[in-house]
Amino acid sequence: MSSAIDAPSESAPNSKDRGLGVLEGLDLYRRLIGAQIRSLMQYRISFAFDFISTGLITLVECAAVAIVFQRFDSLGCWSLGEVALLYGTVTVAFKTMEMLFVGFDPSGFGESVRLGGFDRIMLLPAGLTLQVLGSRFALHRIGALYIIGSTITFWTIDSIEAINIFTYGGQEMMSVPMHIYHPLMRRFFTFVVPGVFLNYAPVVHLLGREDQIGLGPTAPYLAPFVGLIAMIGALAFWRFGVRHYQSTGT
Amino acid sequence: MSLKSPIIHVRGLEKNFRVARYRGGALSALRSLISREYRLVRAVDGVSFDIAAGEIVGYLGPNGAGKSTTLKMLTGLLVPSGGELLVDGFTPWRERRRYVARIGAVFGQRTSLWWDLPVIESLELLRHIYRVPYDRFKSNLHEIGETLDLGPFLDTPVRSLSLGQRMRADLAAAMLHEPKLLFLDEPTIGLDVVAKESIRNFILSMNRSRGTTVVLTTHDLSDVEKLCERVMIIDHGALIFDGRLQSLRDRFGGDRRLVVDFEDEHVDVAVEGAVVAERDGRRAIYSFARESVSAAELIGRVAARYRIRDLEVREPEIEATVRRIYEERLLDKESTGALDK
Repeated sequence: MSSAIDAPSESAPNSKDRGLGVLEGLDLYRRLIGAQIRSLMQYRISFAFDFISTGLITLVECAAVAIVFQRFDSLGCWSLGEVALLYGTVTVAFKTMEMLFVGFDPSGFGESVRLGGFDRIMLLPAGLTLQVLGSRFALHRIGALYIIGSTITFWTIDSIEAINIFTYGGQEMMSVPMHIYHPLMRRFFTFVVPGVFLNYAPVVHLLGREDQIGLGPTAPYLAPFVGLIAMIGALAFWRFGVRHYQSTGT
Repeated sequence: MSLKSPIIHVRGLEKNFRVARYRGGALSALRSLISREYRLVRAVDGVSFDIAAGEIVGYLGPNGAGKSTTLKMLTGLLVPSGGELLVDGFTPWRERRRYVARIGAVFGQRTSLWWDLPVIESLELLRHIYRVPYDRFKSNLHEIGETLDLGPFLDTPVRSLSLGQRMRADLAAAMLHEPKLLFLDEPTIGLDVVAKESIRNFILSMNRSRGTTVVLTTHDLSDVEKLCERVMIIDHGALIFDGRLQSLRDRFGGDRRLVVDFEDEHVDVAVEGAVVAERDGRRAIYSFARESVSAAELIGRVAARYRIRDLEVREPEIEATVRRIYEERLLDKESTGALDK
């Protein structure tokens, strides 16, 4: 009886009918994001507060780093300006990712799965990843990690807070020079959550600093590739999660 | 029921869930983190049916009987654990995108619209998702908007709509891409009589004008009476009835009633073939089984003895009928008829 049941798959056998092409996908993404922005604008005051508070938080964080430098002239031999560059790059990168990938924010996505929002997405003839990306947009504020966190939601329903250690915690960690950390920690952020490539390696190179943790000469340029690999891995895990969802309903 | 080319073909459909077993106590909660015991729940346990294009089928059953699970498999949200499932030539979950472009689905309390946007903007977005050409969209919106009377709230954000308005907007959203099949899970739940009526009329008009095949689950049996020629009843994961509404009534309807108002007072109004169920002044209510005597015969017998001012034959309430079927488990699997052979 079970012979009629094969492994579920997202792709249609006939690729011509596969659905949206890249351009159409982008067009739909643009419309979905447009809808999210128009929705946000319905709550102008709340939006203004979010905008201002996010700005203030960034300012305070900057100030905190500066205050530390009042007492110690350098951090791991780096000056305030150099650490600020490190902080700046990681913050811009994270906030951008957060803005684009907030649809995959595990807490929000878990809520959506619970309330059947994901069923709604499955019932529409457009790509699931595209729709989740277009389901929320954080105009005021890490891609791959978010996707992994959201996927875990399929099993746990309650999103796991643990993933935030890697997203927000990782961001904090990477705001200061990586070489001040214990080698074990460094290895974690090199091989498991490869954050060092995002800002530390390029900034070391940019500042003409010595490569103190032995990343090698290619490391400054690896960020896009490492990012791509992490993303591919995360999306594969996401698809696996969707299949699990289809067979369990949770 | 032999159908030439069913649009929905279901054979031996099964869905099992593994449900974690919970034992009481703090220690066991800890233990369940390490090793969990699972219990197999057969939510849908060997269901077979065919539905022909253009039918409106009511899918009934008590809570937890397997209705929603079946509907989720039919719409491709869930992968069956076993059996065959073919809808309009598609295996729903395997070809999700192509399949969902051909169906419309409204799941009860949830909306498929963008909560903070005006209804019309949601419909426009759906037009792009379904890639409906603009003039098709416009003429469909005109026709559907008219039937559902969407005009007054097309520009209202979805969050500000009443439940009835939202359901009408959701139905419009589900029909704008002209699906061949419409799946509705509790479409009238929580609505007032007027809204229910509007939704039923819409379903009927889509079925008649476009030949849309409709499968709907409901707890409201007046939905079934207004809309469905055919009824399927599921209980404990198995189909216990599949047939015409009338035959459900005939078989399990219980006794009919004949209400008679006499011209004069009578002490004894007994007639052969019926039981006097109630007496109230000049009124008597007879209860009679449809197998033993017809309404015409009984009226004849009463009229032969007494002068009648007025009378009325009452059919048993479908609601009571279905409740009896659930409660007394009147049907077993074997009686579902031809499909199981």
